Amino acid sequence: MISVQQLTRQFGDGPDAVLAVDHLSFEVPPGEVYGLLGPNGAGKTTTLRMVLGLLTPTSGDVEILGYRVSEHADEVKRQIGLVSASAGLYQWLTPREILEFFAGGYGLDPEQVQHQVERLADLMDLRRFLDRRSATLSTGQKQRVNLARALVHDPPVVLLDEPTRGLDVVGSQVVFDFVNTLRSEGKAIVVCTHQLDEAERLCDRFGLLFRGRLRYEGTLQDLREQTQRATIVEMFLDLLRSPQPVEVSA
Amino acid sequence: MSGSGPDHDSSPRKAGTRPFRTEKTAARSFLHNAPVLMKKELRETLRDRRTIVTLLAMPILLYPLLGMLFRFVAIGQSKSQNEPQYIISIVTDAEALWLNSALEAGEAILRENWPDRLTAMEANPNPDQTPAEAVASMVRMVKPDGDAPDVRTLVASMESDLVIRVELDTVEQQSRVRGGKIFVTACSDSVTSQEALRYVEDRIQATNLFSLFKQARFQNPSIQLPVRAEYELVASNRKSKGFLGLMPLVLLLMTVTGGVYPAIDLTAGERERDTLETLVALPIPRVHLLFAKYIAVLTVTLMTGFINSIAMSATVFVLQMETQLFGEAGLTPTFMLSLAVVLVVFALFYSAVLLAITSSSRSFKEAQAYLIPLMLMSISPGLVVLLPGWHLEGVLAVIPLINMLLLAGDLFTGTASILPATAAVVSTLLYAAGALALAARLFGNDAVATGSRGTWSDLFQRPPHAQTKISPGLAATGMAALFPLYFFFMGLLNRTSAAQPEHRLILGAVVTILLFAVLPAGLCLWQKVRIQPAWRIRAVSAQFWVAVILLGLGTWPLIYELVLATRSLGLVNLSDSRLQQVAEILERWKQVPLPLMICTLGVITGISEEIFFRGFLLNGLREILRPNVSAVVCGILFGLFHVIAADGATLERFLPSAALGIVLSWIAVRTGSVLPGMLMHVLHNSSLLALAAYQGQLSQLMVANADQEHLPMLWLTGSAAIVTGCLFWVWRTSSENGSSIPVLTPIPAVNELPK
Repeated sequence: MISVQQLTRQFGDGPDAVLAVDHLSFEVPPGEVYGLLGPNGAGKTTTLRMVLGLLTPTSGDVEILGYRVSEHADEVKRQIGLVSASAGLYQWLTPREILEFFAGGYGLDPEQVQHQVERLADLMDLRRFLDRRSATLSTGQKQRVNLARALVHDPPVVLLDEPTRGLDVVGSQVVFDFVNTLRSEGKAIVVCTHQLDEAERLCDRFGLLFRGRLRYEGTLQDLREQTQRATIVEMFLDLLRSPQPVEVSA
Repeated sequence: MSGSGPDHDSSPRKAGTRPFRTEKTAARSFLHNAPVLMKKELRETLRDRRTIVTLLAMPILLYPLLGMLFRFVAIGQSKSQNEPQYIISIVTDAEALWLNSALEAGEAILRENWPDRLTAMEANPNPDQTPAEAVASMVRMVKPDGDAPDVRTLVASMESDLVIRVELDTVEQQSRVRGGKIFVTACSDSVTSQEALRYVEDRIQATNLFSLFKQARFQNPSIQLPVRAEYELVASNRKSKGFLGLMPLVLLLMTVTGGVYPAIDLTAGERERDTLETLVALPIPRVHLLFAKYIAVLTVTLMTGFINSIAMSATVFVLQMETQLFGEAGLTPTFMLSLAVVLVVFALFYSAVLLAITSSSRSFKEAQAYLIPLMLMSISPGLVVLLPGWHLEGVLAVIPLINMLLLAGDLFTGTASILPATAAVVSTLLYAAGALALAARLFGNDAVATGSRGTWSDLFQRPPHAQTKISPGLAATGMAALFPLYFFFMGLLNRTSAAQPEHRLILGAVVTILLFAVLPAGLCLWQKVRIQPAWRIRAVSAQFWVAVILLGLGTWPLIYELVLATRSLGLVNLSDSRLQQVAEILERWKQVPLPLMICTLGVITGISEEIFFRGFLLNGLREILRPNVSAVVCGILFGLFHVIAADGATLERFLPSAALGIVLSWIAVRTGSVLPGMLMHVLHNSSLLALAAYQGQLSQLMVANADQEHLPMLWLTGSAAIVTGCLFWVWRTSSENGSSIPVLTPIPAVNELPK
């Protein structure tokens, strides 16, 4: 469902050039949660932005359900729901108005819009504050609206960028439940995070990204066999200490 | 998963995972997206209390305060009018007494004999006022400290307007006053001191003259002054328009104030609140997102302008200040309509400029830092155009901002004329389009979305890959640049009007090539647009060539009749002197060899204009409009350009030029190539030039009778038949998207390439 092919992005030219993502390839089938893990600056967010078509790759391409982002950027956007920890809400609008706006933006007709708003209000427990101005909501409530916003057009692919950042235990649990629901619905999910312990609980497969390159890829069991380490945290510490790039082995 | 198309069956999917079946966004026009986008933008803007403060509270508080201030100043001025205007220092009481009687005598003589010499201030409307009272109302005499004061210091420090010392004559004279000599010290830098000096001089000279004249008439009763004069004082209508002159500037500031906050909030605010990423992740073109924001900013700007106008009018009405502020007529419907026109055009322009500036900012603070210079830049020309002698004419009509301020001023004084006003409005709308194109390019671009690099540099950043299409933004930029550049170069060319007509033609051709061919080519190269496919320089089948040759040679009689029809409708705005000037130019051009005329005005102009209008602009318009709509819009712009920019511009050129432009654009659309239109344009221009050159001979052959304005019916019928037949032929043998467009083979997917 998601196929990332030799994706590369360089910022700037000459000696100041930064290779943020370097020939990155991976695939995510339906119903799988893929964890794109890496420390800050590893290239996770840049990758997600290229998958979404917000950033033009220097080379390589992405296919979502057979649509290439380089050729059918709008169709690709229609297939994807984006959840970002940094995403804010329109403070003067209510959650209902925000959901209606995004549903309309994705081209849903008015009947579908109302159906989706009601469904998500129940699914994400938004009823109590559905008609309150967003500026008055708590952090957890805002995150629930954000999650609902990403699903307003019922996309087959969901990208989550640091979804638990800034959330307490209860808020994080909402996100975990959300991801499990999506998995059970057969959606292809990519989770970018540097909170490795949480990733172990959430993801089916992992890609360890370091300085723009995919260093290891596979299930937790695969990675343990490849690295002889028990946890992803230990694997990363090895990577950080390693002076030489480690080739991908999957 | 392979191939570049959708692959919905590539994997099993559970129920509920299929996205909603929605219309493809690429096919969705702005009208489809607009309700959703604008609802959100307007809700967000109009609920913000900061917008409401600017929109309602400011005018409600500001105008009554300004009105009260104005009244206070007016009252202050009228109070000061009741006090003596000039302070004269005089040392002794005797001198003061004598000077007072001398001034009173002079005042009485002036009133009796030369009342027209009195200024408006001196001519007191109260008829019962005595000369003594009149002098007392104008002069206050003060006694300086000390017996021997430093008179120069007294005047230089402006403590007194004049210092007067008096030496009285010892011998009594036959006069109204006792004789004496006065020594006056005045300040050369003080207007009041100079006026006081004139006041004293006028009265003393009147006394002297009257005394001499009386003595002379005593000797000879029939004696008369050798020179007699009468004076009439008329108030200036140029020096100051008072508050009316300030109105354009007040209006500008009012309008800008309303748009500033929404423009920042809807662009930089999206970034600061981290809502931009989710917004641009929608499958909606960024130009649509930006245009919705433009409509929102425009709405608030217009609302602010109109609410300010209402508050201002209400204040003026309640305080009964209509005549003081707006002259004798007061607040008339015409004035209010002019106000509305100016507001709308200002708002269209400024909203676009504000968005262009704020779209590049990543925070409120950054946007505010950019807008302060804009506000200062707006005020400076506003003050300049208040100076006398500035009117909407010539190149001023296309200078952004100044043109609208001058138009506003001219509208208020009822002196606006249609041609420069049209030039000002059209050029301003084009600048607005250019600013919007700029904003669309900056808004939500890679750098802004990721925050990874600078912003303004991205404006000049070339795309990474070669393009085969002209973006609407690039076309709008080209059109917006063409107007001022054309005026500039034509202005330069007009300075060489003394040169030989041949030289002028050649220079004109060079300018034409630079602006209509080199400018779009440069813009395309800058944006890595491949010129051949983008301008649709393509070979077409022979039948189209035959059709355009016939059209090029056969259209002129219809165009000529259209010109006559326009004249008969009274749409001619050339003055007699300008017509004479144009006739002289045409007469001079008759000395130029015909081949040179055809080469410069026929071939070079035809090809260059086709490059710009059909190769560059039309193809940019086709990216956002349907082909036939693009042809009509391009034709109208072609017509407007000839109305406004052509040397000796007249409205009568609009209909023929627009009609020709629409036909040329339609031919380019139907044939899928810019080349047939070029040939038609060249042949059309050249046939007109040849006809003009051989007009005399043709008249003798009764082809074009000088006495008979209209062409023979046979010619018109023939022309109509050729045009109709050829257009029908082209229509039948082509498609809306151009019949000669080769069928493109889809690019194979990477994994389909041969190994």
